[in-house]
Amino acid sequence: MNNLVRDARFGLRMLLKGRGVSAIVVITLALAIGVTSTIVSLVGAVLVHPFPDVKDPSRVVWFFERKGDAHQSTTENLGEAVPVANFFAWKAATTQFEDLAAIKPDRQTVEGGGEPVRVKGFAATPNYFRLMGNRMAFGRDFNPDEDTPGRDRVAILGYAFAERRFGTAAAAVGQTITTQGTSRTVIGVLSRSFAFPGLTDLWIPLVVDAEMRANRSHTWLIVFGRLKAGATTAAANEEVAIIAPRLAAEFPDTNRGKSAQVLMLQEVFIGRGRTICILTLLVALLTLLVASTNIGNILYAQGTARRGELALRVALGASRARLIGQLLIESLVLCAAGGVLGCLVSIWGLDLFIASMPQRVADRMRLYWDLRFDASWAAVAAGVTLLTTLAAGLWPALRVSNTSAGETLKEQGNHATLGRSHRRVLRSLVTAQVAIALALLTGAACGAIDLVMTERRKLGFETTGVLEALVTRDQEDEQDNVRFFTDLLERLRAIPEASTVGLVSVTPLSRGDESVQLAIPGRPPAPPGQELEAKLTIVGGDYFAAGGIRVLEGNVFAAKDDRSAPAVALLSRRAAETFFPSQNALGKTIVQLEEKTQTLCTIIGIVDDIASYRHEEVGMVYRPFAQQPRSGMFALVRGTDPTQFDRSVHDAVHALDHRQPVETRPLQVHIDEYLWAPRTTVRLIVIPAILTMLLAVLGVYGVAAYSVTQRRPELGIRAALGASPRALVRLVMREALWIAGIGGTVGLTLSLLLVMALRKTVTMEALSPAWTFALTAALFLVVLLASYGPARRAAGASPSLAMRS
Amino acid sequence: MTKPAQRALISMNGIAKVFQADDVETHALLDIHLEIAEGDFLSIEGPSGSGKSTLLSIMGLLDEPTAGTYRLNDKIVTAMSPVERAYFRNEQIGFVFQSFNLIGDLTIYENVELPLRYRKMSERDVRAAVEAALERVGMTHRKNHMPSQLSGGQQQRVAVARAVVGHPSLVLADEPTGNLDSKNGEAVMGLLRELHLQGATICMVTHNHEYTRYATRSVYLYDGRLSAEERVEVA
Repeated sequence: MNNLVRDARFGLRMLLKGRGVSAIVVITLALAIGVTSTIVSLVGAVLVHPFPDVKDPSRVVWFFERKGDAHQSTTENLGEAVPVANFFAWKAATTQFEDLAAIKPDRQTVEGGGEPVRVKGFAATPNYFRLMGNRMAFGRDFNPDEDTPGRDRVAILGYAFAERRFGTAAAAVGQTITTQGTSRTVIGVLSRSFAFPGLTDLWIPLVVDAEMRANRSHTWLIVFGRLKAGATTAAANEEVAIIAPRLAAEFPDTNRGKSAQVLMLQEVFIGRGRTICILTLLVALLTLLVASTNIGNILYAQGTARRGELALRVALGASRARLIGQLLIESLVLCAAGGVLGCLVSIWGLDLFIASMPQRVADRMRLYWDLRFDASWAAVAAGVTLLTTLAAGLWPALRVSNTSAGETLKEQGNHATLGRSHRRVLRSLVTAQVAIALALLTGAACGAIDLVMTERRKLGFETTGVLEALVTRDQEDEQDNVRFFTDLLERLRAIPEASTVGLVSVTPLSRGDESVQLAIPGRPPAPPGQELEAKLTIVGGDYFAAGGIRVLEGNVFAAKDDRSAPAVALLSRRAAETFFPSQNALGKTIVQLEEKTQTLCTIIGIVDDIASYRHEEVGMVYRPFAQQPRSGMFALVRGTDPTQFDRSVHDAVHALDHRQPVETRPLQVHIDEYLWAPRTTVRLIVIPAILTMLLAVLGVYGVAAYSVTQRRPELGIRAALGASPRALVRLVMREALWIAGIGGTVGLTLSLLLVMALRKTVTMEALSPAWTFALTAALFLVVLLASYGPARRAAGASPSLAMRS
Repeated sequence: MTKPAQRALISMNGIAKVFQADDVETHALLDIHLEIAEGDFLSIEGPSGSGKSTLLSIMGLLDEPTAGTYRLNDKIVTAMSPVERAYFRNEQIGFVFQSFNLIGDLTIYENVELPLRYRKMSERDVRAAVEAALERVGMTHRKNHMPSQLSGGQQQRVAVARAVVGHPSLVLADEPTGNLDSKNGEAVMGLLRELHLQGATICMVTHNHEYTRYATRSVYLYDGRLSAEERVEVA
């Protein structure tokens, strides 16, 4: 025990003596463990433990219908929702599912328990929560018969909403609320964390009457299925592919050419993020590898330098166990310090990561993934570095105890021949680090360039100073809605801080864009499935001025363009070029095809393109609100500072209807949310890449410094033989050049492979070879700079060392 | 036969060397006056700590004196910059060290050519000079070996070849037999005498009085002072 204490005390003294090296090891350990476990915790939450509140989420699938061949749904291009009649048909015919459940988005105004409020809600088949395996926090689930008219006057509330309305969630059960004039009893409150498929305040039963049950032409149910135990998505897809033709034969008018497809929830929600997650994970693991190598390098070099001391101890009678024990203690102290700091870095890293998200994104992320520090991942990272630390720390002791102390001491005396094999080991490890660093830097640059290009991509609209206000009316009467929004425009224009005001059905870069089918008069009708399609946006007031969208030709809509006037439309530049190639679209007509109506519209203007949510190259058709009114519109109010007139916008809405809910936020928030994913991806790759580069540079510095220390006698001899200081600098830097050259070549090869892989899997902008070579050159330069310090020290080698050696 | 009067290759006047460590001053050399003529074989004797190696370091431009003037080949070297000294050392001086000081990572050939690598010489001239130097010491057949593959005596012969490959004005030998057994020691001393007979100027530090018989002059250093000089008849 005394020996152990003495060894521990000596070990600590040695660590303090080499406090610079010890600090570098601890910081490297902390950063490696911290960054790796942060990233692995995030990726693990997304890939390994998604949807924490859905029971056995790997068996829950999203069920889509689509036109044409099945198996075309991708995470970028999901299929369509399912008509009610088809839902029941699929449910009856399929055998791979324990059950199918459906929900229908249903925003409602809730009265009772406080001021009327507009809430996000869903109508759900009664089996929905059972399918998701969720328990109620309070009260009960829907009964199977509560989807029939008369029995449906019940509601289940989201936990947060129940708390807001009734003080406590428990108090909500048994209360009465009114939605759309229907009085409902609150029968249950969902558990606090359940919010699938999104944060929802209100759930009501989906009532299906006889007419709806026969409906096959409206697509309006979001369908989920739970696979039977042992069933797979492949088997389910095979089955629906067999059933689809039967349904098509039975209902040719609506189901011809239709099929269905199921996708795992993870595929739908994570999509291409899966590739990004795996890439990020790979980057994190490479960072860990580089850090471990670095620590190994440092400790190996340090230990090797102590071989003389260890050999002396052996000569004086120290056993192998004593030597190992002594070095083990030193390594463990370093690991413990690095591990604790690493966990702190990881916890702070995750907090920082979540804090960096726009609020709505953070809320959404928390619904699907349990984003918290996962100690098990930190333990794995710590374990890897611990093994490296121990192996590198113990290696010299094992070497010394395996060779005779006399030989080691003799070798220590013969400086001219010492260090060749050691230097080769270190050099090889650092070369590998440089190669990995270069590959990671290239990948990171790929992402960063993609981000810059995305951010610089022509948005086509101006967000600065614009406030958006979502106003969704319960009122279905079109004339009443036209009156309401016309009055609202007038009131908003009266706000002193507002310079321009417009209305739009969907704000730019939003998910909820709407498609419309078109026909061009005089042209033959397009075959089924190949109809002309565009995005439809309904606008009012001075939308184009408020949104900063350029008008290229013709005019924008005027107040006179109402129901009594001829139908008019504006086209985006891309739509005009697509529908009327080599022609001037101005004055031409298009037919807007809808289920029951066809509207012939004259094109009165062409406006500039704006970016769409999924980078789609689809044209846009604009129609005036007064000719195609909606119950929900966004008001865009342009001023200088949106926060200055936010209150005035609320007042303007409430002056017209004090019960009308309104949600406001700066339009810029859209951009931030839109760009958050690419920004985060780049950050998750760039940070480890930079860390890896720093570690590699540190490694090069370490090798150069170690080399100079080990080669001091040799440098002295060279100086004695007439080597000038410059020749000695060149000698040391040649080693760094070797590392940079070999590492750079291997790294460049890896980079090119990585870029090729990225191009295949992620739609990142290509990284030009010029950039790749520029990065290689930059790394080359940094490596040379890192070795310059030790090389300068070498230049000062005293030739008189040769006399003393 | 009377030799013609030789030009002084080395001229040291009042050379002193003081080492300063914290508050302690150590006088390694005091008021050294020494001349070595071209073609001399000077042996410097003395006990450990007498300042022999320090004197040789100063003579070889590896160290600077704290006082005095040192003239080598008619040039005052005490006024030279480190870079000038490096070039001058390379051109004028060859070294033979006690512990051979061959570079373990280089072959025998590469070790011998090392001084020439710091000069501007054509590859052909370098090759010819190295081959000739190795030939002189009888080590041509081991030129592709590594130093660790040679015995101590062989390593020192290689060191002698390296010392003379650049045809220096002066060869400095610091205890050249210190790490060798008597047989190898005699062989190396024979090699030095052979070099001397071929015209080389040699200055050797030794604490083994036996080997002074190979020199033409011998000086004795004690406590940093030259205390006696004797002319030795070449054996």
